[in-house]
Amino acid sequence: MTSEQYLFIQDLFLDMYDKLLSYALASFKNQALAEEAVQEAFQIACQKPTSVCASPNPRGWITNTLKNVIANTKRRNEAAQRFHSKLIDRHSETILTPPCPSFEAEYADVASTDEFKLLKAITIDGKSQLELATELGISLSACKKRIQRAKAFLRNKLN
Amino acid sequence: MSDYLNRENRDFSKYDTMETNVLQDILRSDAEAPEDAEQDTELLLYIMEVLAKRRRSEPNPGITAQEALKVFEAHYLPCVEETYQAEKPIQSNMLLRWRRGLSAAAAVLIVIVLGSVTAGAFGFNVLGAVAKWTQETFFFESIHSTSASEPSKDHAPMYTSLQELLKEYNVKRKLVPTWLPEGYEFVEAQVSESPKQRYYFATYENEGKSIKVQIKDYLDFHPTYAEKSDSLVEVYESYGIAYYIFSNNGHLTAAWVIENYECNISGPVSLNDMKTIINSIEKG
Repeated sequence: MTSEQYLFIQDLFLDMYDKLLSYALASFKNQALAEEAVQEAFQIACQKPTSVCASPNPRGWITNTLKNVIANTKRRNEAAQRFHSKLIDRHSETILTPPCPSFEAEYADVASTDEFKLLKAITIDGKSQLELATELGISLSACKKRIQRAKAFLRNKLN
Repeated sequence: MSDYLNRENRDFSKYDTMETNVLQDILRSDAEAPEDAEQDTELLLYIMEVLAKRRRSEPNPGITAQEALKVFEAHYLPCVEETYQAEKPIQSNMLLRWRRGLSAAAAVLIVIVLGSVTAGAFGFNVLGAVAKWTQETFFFESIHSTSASEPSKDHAPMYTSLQELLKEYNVKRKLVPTWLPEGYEFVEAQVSESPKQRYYFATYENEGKSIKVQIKDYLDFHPTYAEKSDSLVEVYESYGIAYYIFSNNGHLTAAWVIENYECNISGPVSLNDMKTIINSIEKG
């Protein structure tokens, strides 16, 4: 990304941020998630600077990008919520079914793991990744990696 | 609003008085529509602006676009740079040094630019300021320097000094050091600009080592500044201006704001040399 391209994106950011936030708030009703969606849309713009700078309608470009971010976020959260529910159900089974030492040993403490709590914060409590990163005292990039690792860890546990 | 009427002969004024939840329903419907669905961008932008104005008039409107931009540069842009670095080979030794500096565990300075359209503000109030300056921001700045250091055919003419470049753009404020450690020679100076800001930078080299001077001119508003971080070496005052000097893996960076300019000098220099560089700015 050249400096000219980033200056272009900066100007687009200052021009469109408030409007795009209105768009995101209509879908999320959660200020933090809406702000994060707008930030991610501009993150994509920085990953594709040639595309946005050359677009005949940069405002439309960034609005469409935000639309895709919103759709992806919702799909991701819905999938994670289903996964989370499955985990809760599986955890409940350990109480209802007859004791099985190996099964109990493997699943009984899943809900108390950091990975479970991390995923719950995002999917159930509705926190943005930036909010979570701030709480944990880590960078946003590190937080995203932790979430990916948490999903992989819990998926392994269920399988 | 009359822009829309004049440009497109479309009158959206009926949306000005619609209930907020009705307007949000329209936006949400668009967000949930298939990707290839027809989209009325003009109408959507109009509604987005109506809602934005209503939100701005609320008691707690949230952060401004300028503040959100600083959050973006502090937290989200570094994620882009990581992807950028993973996909493209690093060509600049300076870039490698900056990258290693980012792995430092210490807290960093983050600049939060508070917009102001007040003309005639000089200097800044250290006690009253709020901002910090991120290492991520400097990482970004050095990305720009690297990408623009290959002379662009769009940037002509070539300048013989940074001062010459600033003079061409009628920058009267003294911002350029007139002393550098022995052996450093001017290589190039370039400018990038957009409607809201102008970005000047210059490179000086000495046997593979580089000193870079970067100046961002916000044109319309005045960045404000302050406070401390663990990587801060010293707040050095020269001619009434406070220069924040911090270290980054063997490099020193001096950063300061003055009027509508946000500036920094960085390179592999000693603290004493950095202070001499700083003192030479006002002497020029």
